[in-house]
Amino acid sequence: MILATVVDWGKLLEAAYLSAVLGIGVVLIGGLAVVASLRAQDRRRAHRGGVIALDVVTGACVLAIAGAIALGIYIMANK
Amino acid sequence: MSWEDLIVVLVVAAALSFDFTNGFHDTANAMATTIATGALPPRVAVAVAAILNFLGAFISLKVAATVAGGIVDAGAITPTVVFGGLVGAISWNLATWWFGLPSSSSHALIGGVVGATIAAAGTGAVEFEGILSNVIIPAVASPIVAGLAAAVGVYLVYRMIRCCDAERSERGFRWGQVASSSMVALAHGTNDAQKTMGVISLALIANGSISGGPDFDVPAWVVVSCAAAIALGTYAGGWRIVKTLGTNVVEVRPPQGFGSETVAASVILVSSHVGYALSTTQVVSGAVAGSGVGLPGAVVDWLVARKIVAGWLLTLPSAAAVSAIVYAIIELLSGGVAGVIVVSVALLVAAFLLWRANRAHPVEPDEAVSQHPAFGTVTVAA
Repeated sequence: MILATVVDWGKLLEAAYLSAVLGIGVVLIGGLAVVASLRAQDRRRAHRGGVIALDVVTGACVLAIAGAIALGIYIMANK
Repeated sequence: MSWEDLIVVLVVAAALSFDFTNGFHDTANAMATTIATGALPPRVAVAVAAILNFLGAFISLKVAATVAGGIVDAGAITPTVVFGGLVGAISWNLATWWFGLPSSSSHALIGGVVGATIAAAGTGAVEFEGILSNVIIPAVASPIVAGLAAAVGVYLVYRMIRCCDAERSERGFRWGQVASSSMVALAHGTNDAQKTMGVISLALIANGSISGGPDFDVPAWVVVSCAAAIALGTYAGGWRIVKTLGTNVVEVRPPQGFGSETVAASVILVSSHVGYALSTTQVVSGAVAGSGVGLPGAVVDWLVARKIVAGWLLTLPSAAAVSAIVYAIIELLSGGVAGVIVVSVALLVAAFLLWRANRAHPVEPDEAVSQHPAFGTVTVAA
């Protein structure tokens, strides 16, 4: 009863949902960057095609992570 | 200088001491997994964390102006109450550090202030609903959310990299670990240094040294000294806790370290944006345990995890009890500067004895590096 009136469950769920989605999302982007980078290295060594596409994917992932870091600093500065 | 001014000087000294213990107690939050996997050498890792904690303290000052808000009645706060709260928090930080338990410095401080307030003005001065909604519920929810998210993230990442060479992929994740743990260190500096700034400001306002109100500004010397204290504490490195979090809960591999620190940073920053000030320690501990669940075949030492959770449960009441006792002792000794000096000396003696005991049985930085054969051989800094 007290919990229902005192705690803003909507806000709590929003925080849980957003942080889980953002956290898992950035982890997966990091994983994709590593996989794309390794695949690009292997293809480069084997003189196979598709290296540029994989490098673009790696670069995009790195940029996305840099964006997440910038967003984090923005949140810290504006809370 | 009046006796009241002397008490404020001692409160400021106690606050900076708390800030120092907060730094070395929480070094593990950002860097335990980074050190354990060899992503950075131990001394380099704590230096990076120290610099980021220092810089983080300057990013925002909004929390400093609202510390203790919604927890206790502002009218009950006196410099002696603040001093009692700080002594309780410092005592708890030192005790949990000695046992290598990553507990929340923020909760220790809140528990300390609540305990001293109850001793000074009774339970009527404590806003229990505020503690429930702002402290206890987020403290229960945040490690669970961080643990679940880290477990899912780490599981999916291992699915992604199962076709890649493990050693090469781990090298990539070590770079990711440096970035994600740096974010946690920066967030820690922003959150925790501000709390000490707020505590010092409270004492200065209560003493009339500075004026409060809506146009209140944290004095520059308070900001700089708090940033320096937390950075020095971080650089000192609480190796006992670093070892527990990096190697005892679960044998952390680089993808797990990256996953747990990234999820922890997300939980801390999103929650902060929504309006919850979480314990960095609890979020990171939950995420590290979750990263063990997410890696098939990994073994989480649930006995260590249970001890950590027991430490969390005891933090608020223990810090509150110590602070209430400290306040009662000060009151017994005429309630003035004499009591504060006696308690300060007792705390210094206890800290010295603990430091000496630690020198007799030290935990060295290298012990915080995982002994797994694949670890500690390749570092991105090399």
